[in-house]
Amino acid sequence: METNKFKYFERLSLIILIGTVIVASTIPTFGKVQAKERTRLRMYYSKLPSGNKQVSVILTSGRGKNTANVADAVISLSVEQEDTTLFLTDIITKADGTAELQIESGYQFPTNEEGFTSLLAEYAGNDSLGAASADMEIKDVILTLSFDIEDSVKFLTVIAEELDSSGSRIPVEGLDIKIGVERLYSTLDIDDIETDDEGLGILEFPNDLPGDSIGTLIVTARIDDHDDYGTMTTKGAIDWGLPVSYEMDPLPRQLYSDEAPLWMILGVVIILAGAWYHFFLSIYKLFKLKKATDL
Amino acid sequence: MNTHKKINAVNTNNDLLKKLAHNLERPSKRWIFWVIFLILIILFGAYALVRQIIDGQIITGMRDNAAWGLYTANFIFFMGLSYAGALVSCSFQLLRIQWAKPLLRMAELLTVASLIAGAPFILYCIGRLDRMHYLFIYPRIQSPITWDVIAIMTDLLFCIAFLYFTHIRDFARLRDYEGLKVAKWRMKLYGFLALNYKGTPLQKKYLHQAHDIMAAIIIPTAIIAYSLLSWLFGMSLRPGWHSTIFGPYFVITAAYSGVALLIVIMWLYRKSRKLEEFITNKHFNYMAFGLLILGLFYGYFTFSEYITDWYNQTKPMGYLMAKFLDTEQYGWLSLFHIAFTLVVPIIVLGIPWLRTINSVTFISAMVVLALWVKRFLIVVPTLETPFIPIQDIRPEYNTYSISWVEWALTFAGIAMMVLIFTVASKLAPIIPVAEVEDVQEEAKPLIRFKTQGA
Repeated sequence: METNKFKYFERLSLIILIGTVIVASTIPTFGKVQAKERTRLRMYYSKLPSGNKQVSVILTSGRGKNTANVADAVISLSVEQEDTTLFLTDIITKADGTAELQIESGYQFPTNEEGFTSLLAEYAGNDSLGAASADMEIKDVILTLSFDIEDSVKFLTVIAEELDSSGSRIPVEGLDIKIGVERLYSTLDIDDIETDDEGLGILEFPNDLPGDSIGTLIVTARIDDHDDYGTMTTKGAIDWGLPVSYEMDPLPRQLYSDEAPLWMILGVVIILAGAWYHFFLSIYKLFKLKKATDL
Repeated sequence: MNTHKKINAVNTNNDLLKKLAHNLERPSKRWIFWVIFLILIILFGAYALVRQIIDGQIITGMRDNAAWGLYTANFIFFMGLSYAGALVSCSFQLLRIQWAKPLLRMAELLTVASLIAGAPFILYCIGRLDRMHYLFIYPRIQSPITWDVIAIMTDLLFCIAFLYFTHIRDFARLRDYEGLKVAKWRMKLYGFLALNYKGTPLQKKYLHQAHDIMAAIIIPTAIIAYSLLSWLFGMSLRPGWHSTIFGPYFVITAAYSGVALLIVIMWLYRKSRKLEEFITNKHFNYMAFGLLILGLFYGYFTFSEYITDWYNQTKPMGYLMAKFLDTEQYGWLSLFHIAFTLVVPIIVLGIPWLRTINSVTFISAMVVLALWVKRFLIVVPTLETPFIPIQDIRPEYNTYSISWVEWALTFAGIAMMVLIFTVASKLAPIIPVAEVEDVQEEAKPLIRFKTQGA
């Protein structure tokens, strides 16, 4: 009897022990102090065709294959100015870990003597994620497009200038600029040009690009992720394209029409009505069959 | 004396039912193991589907270029079998073909089983199943997809109704057959499903009318539904799909594969249920003739399709045709398709001394397999040959390869179809007893023409 009792307690203790180990092992912090995960903050600057400036950040945690975007994190943006720091604003990261700040074209960042603005982004971290920061120095650059025709040859000229601390324009030499034209969903790259010591880049413009109905092309000049200037795009319209007629086809594809044609609606209704009428007629015959038991 | 005498039994002569009733009684161990085996295959398919829903379509072979694959090929294949079953059974019904009566139930079951097993395949292709109800909330009448959804659902309901209509007299016979050793609930079920049928002249008349109406409406519904499926391809501009003959070509292909599978089913039931008395040499002979005629039609359409594509001078069409000839791509599959849908069947079915029950059945099985391959060849090579290749993607994303998930769901579909046959033929005789007994009885045709002097 006592042996049985002992066995019972022995088994119960064993079950409780195993249960405790299983439950405890599912708790991530059991038996160790959780270290904060490393985070990484990256910052990008771009100047949009409208002249607005955009500062973008992306916050990630972990390393290698375990890298994950951090959402809903507060990032503080500020401008460093000699010994002082000018706070701009806080931005909050989205689900993909990115956050953006757009600044109207009229606003000028404070600059140092060389015309550079020092941007600083900071993430304070939380209980599980460590703090992170990123900084960059950027300079404002102005791209101006001009269109000229000499001896029936079309030339696109791009002038690249930067502003010094006094606000005067200084030509930028050796700047790589990508020239393209806007298409429906993306930009069609035409060529790359490099500016000379006067800040001028010249391209002989092709004659065979399709434009809109009057031949208008939207020409873009773009700097991609430059160390000093970030990303920048300037646009200009010129009627150097081949006019293309986009008149409505005499018989547009029916799938894309807003509403189905009347003949199709009528056809579907008639076919379905005919089919379902006969279906219900045969079901009606079954009801009659069920009742027709007398000879 | 009351002339409206009630009759309590449909038929007192149960000789035929006696011969077939043992198949409906207590299932054997072999039958139970077979059903468990089929259910296990279906469950494995369900597991694969759950994995696909959790992990996404990345675990299938479908990628940027070939956004359709085995699922779509299976969908077309099963739908084809279903429409063929409907065409065959309804034509037999309307034309009062007496010799075909033992085959009616198999053809009707083929229709419903393949429709139930095949329709879900189109859902497996959908990346966002959670948005499927948009098809009903925001339908676009001008979209062929909408036509197809409406047609398939209508066809499924009509075919289930027709299958039930053809069972009513047999349910009545089973209800009244005292020698049947089955559970009470089954007897009650037979009584409920028999709709009080007692074989009165008026009941016979109504049942024949219901049969004929459904048969007459299912034939055009099946043809329209399968043509709509073909137009999903034909209305696109892709090489190999943009074809005006796809509608009739699909219908002929469906009939060809359906009749071939019906022959295989006949052979299987004849062997497994010892039905040599009912499914005779004559049935195989007639069905073989039917298969031969359909094979010749199929050959004509296939030749028309390839010869017009062959003369097409566009580059993508050239690339596509080259893939059918390249043994490192789809050459072997194309050869297999041509050999077993055209060359071998026409030789074996056309030469009398080669035509035996076993050879006809073997050829039919190969025709079914080759026509499944054909559906794969319609879907995949075209998608791998776009007019403008997608740029900057991984090279392996340009081509399609079947994953284990797709195979699992394919075998689950086949198992589902076989399971429906297995269970349905346990509930009611696979040979329609009442139909076969009334072999001399002819229903009045729907339309009667006055002949001169009549």
